[in-house]
Amino acid sequence: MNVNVTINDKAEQRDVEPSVTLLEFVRDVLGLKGTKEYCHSGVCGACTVLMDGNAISACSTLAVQADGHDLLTVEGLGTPDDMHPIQQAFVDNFGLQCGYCTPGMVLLTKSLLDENPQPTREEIIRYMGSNICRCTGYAGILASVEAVVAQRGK
Amino acid sequence: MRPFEYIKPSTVDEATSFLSQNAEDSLIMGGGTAAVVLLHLGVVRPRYVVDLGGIGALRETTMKGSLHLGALTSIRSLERDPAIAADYNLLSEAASQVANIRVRNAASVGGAVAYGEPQTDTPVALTALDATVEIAGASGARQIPIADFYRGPYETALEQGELVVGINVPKPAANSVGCHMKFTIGSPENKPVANASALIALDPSSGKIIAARVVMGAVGGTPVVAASAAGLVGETPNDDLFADIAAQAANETDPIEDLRGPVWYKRRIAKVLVERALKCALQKSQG
Amino acid sequence: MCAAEKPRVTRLIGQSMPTLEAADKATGRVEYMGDLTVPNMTHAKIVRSPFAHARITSIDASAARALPGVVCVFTRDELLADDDMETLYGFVYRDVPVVATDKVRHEGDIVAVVVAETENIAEEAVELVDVDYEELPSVMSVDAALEDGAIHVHDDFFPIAPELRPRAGTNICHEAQISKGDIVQGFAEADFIYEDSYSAPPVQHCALDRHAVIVDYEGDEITVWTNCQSPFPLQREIKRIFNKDARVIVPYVGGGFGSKSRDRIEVVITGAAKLAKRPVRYIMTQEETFQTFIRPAYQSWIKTGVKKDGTIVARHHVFTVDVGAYAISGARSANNTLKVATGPYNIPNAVVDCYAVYTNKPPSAPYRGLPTTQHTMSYETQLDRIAKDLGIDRLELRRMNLAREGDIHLTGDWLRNAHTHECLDQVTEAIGWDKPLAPSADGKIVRGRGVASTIKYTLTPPREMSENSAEVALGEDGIFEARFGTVNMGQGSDTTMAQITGDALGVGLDLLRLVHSDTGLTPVDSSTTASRSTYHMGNALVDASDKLKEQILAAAAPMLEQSADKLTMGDEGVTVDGDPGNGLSFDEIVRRNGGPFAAMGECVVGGTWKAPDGKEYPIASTFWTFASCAAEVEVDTETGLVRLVSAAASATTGTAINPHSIETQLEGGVGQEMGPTLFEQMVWSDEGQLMNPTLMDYPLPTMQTMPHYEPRFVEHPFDGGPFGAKGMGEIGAVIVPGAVLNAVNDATGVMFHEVPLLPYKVLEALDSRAGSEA
Repeated sequence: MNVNVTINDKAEQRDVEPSVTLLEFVRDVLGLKGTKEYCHSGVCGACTVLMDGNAISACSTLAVQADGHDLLTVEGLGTPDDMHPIQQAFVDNFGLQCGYCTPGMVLLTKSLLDENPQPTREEIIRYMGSNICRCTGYAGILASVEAVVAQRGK
Repeated sequence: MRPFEYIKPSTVDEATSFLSQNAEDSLIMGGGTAAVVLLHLGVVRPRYVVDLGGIGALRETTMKGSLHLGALTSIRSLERDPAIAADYNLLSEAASQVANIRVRNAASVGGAVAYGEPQTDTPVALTALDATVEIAGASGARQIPIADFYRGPYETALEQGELVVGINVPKPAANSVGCHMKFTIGSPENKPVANASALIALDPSSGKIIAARVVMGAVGGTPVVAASAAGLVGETPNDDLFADIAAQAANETDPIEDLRGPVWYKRRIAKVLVERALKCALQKSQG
Repeated sequence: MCAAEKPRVTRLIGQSMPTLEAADKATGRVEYMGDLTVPNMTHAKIVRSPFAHARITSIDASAARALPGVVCVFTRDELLADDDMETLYGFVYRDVPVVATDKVRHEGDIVAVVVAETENIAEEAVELVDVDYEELPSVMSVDAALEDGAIHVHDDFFPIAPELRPRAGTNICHEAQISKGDIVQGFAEADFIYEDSYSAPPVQHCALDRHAVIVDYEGDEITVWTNCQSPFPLQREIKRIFNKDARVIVPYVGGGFGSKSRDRIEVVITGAAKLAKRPVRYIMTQEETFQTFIRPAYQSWIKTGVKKDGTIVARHHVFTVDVGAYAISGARSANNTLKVATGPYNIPNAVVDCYAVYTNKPPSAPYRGLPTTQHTMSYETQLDRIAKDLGIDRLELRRMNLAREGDIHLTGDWLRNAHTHECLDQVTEAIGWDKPLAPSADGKIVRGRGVASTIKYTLTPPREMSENSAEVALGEDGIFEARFGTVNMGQGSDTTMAQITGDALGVGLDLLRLVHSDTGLTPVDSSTTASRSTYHMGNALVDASDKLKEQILAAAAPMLEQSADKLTMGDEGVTVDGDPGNGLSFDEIVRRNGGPFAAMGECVVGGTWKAPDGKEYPIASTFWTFASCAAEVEVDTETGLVRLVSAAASATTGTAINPHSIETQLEGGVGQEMGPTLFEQMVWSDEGQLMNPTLMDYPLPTMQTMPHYEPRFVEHPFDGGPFGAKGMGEIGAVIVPGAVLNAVNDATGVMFHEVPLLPYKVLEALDSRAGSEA
């Protein structure tokens, strides 16, 4: 099957089997390994990508379902030398430890703030509760999101 | 994942005509949140995966007297659409409690209904709202009240080769208010122990309840419509009444013991949720 | 002792800095095991036992081998036919067949490995391997395993670690006792005696980075890439089994928490790679991680004798740990916690008995302090019961019994850095212990607070088995390279080691390069477990840095025509004291020296310690970490739901190398242990099948269940630690269940003796209390 996507502002076209998941497509076909796998059941959020701006689980989406859509993965957000403000906030506020959930958390934060630029703490907690982190106990992640909100509120 | 053939019809007719020949070998996919996980786990190994995603007509939502939801309407859009939130608040409230944001973005209302999972939040609210399921098949289209649509866990009234193409939700009676409550162990994203939707309509002059509907999820093979809710009609709402009706409603449930608790506990939770949903609805009506 | 404490300038130590790799992680650039590939790589999937206990009657892999794209299938036939492959592995307990030979002993036990060109082909081939089993009765709990006539999970015992003592003809793979004073006399002196039993079921670590391995058997040495927390013991084990040199490389690890502290798949995949004659990659699914290593079930019985005034005079503590089907590490971790089972209290007469028992559950692994966590839950909740019964304030009872500096511990150790009271004071102040609780609006939500204190050991092998070394080198580019075996699994070890090394050398981070966890490049280290790395590897790096500095200054002295003691190392290179313009850059020194510099350092532990009283005392733990937690909970009396509202945690850390990092470790520990305290547990059917193998049925904490955290630490430099530091990576978790159970008791008057506090169990208890009051 032919899959055409715009990913991280770049057009990509690949021929893949229909049984290829979007997670496999992004990681193995396009070689963008920042998107991670753990539970493969849509629960943990390690594989979060944004499709047309909406956070989805790449593990529970087929690559063919993304045909014609716009995708954003962690690689499209910033580089170590030129981080997106959300990524910078995760670094500055100890919003990560092992870093495995971080690409998903960073993208989830982006979709939250695109939808709701000035969320309350309750709104942040409700939204960010969708993804799992095993290291931080979430305090650093909450601080990171709030730091971005505060920065933008200025 | 095992290989399969991918079928992407662009009209309902195309889909139903394909399914009329191949229903037994096909898995129908809406948003894919459940389907792709089942395929990955190898729980289902279909020859064909029929992706309804190309059928533009299934994305149409209209609000003319009643709410018509194309089967592919995302759960997230039920949650976020201000018009739905205003007139069908119970539905958007239930939608906002489904799993996590990624599932809500991808999952479709038609998929949620057709999957027949007894604990999903949206079908419980849709049952409380007396929605009708619109079905298409090679032999034609039909409509069926959602309460009749559910036959058992993962069992519905869908005949082989039929599709859920839409949901029709009548506008709740004037002065209706609803509330959806869900109880989980751990985080709210988890599968519920039980959930409940309550919808009551109040006579503005007398303050009495003129219509009431209570539906509970995860406490039976299908959403459980509480017959005892009839006992609310004609009464002036009060805490004792709600507690009494909730207790009766809980007795109508038929839960199974599982990891989320024993039967007695699930009934207790159903009671608490119904009581809380009724109180919450009343509170909303008092603005 | 390790490197002696000297007056030093600290520029990096004491700074709260994000980890050095944080930007790479935030941008998704860090490669974990699952992201690595090697040329010509094949893919493995494992055929696993569907039964908890069965005899394998036949294995027919011919159909799988015939499937196009299948490279090979590794079964017992290949294992037993190969004279150059040992059949059993395990460096603590040698009880694990490389691949199942006669029996399978738990659901998910490894029966065969299928190697294919793609993962999909391997997955398909797994189903074509035809295995016939004769199902055997299984023992799914310690109680069942200890019954008379219970089936034996193993017929023989092969303990490797010298302290392990199996009991022949039973499922007890290790039993041990530790004692102090005279317990008979102690109980005779007691005014009151309390006896209680406690339990905690298994849970899984759920480190998001699943176990994975790549093995290349070809070439002069076997190369193993893995996310194991113990690369060096693993390397030796592979070398022993395959009689061929091996190199183990560990990349960044996406969380370990103990689940990766021991090998389980590396050896069998090496066997498959030998057969395949090509590199083999294997990545577990999340479900398979649940079948690989789990935190074991725990049970305890505690008897405590107290005087009327609350003084504890005697304690008998008996505990069992369910090590599962293989005692890969479970027996030894149970044994290690004998040292801390009586808690941070000064108890003159005590006996602790430990039993590690085989069952047909998956093998057990350490889990952030296990089972010190469960000991703490046991003795701390009993202490609250005693306080209530004697009418003594809960904090007062603790304060009067908490150990102090110089008290003689259960192990005979002279306790050092024992700032137990400070920890307790910090957490009670942080949580507002004396402030009134928020009133319940409708009487349905009740609130309460609780505390728990603990003592934690670190791995302390006998002196001759102490293995903690590091190397620091100065290269031609004028950059220092620190080489150390510590595995970076998110705890911030690279940053901690850089702070220590930089200050030891006197140079900034720009002049440092780090090489971690590669047995081919870094000197031997025993493991990254038990909160040991800051202390042990930190000391080894200080030692190496000191030696390297001496070498460099000695070499620079003639170049600068000064004596070495008049020279200082800094960011600019080596300069002459009092004449900062006069010096040489590091690259210049290397050039003139005719080559780079390198020095090895080590940290030797064990032996005895000379106390201020002039006597020598044993060192059962190189350092002890003390900690307290204060928790505030809300209990919904209609649903039984317990919410952890607020948690304050404090630990004795010695010098805080990276203070905010310490706070985040405490938050992470508390946040993680909250799950098993409130709702996580693995459940098996009577036949031994796991009922909740996926996250769909195994809930984990999220931001929605997060408490408000108040992390604290007590910072008194610890003599012997690198710049005075101790380890603390696990301690945040250890103190949670005790504090939460005590808080629930405070809120409801019901004291639970088990976790998790599932809402239905709480409601049942509240109902029965109401029933007994009515």
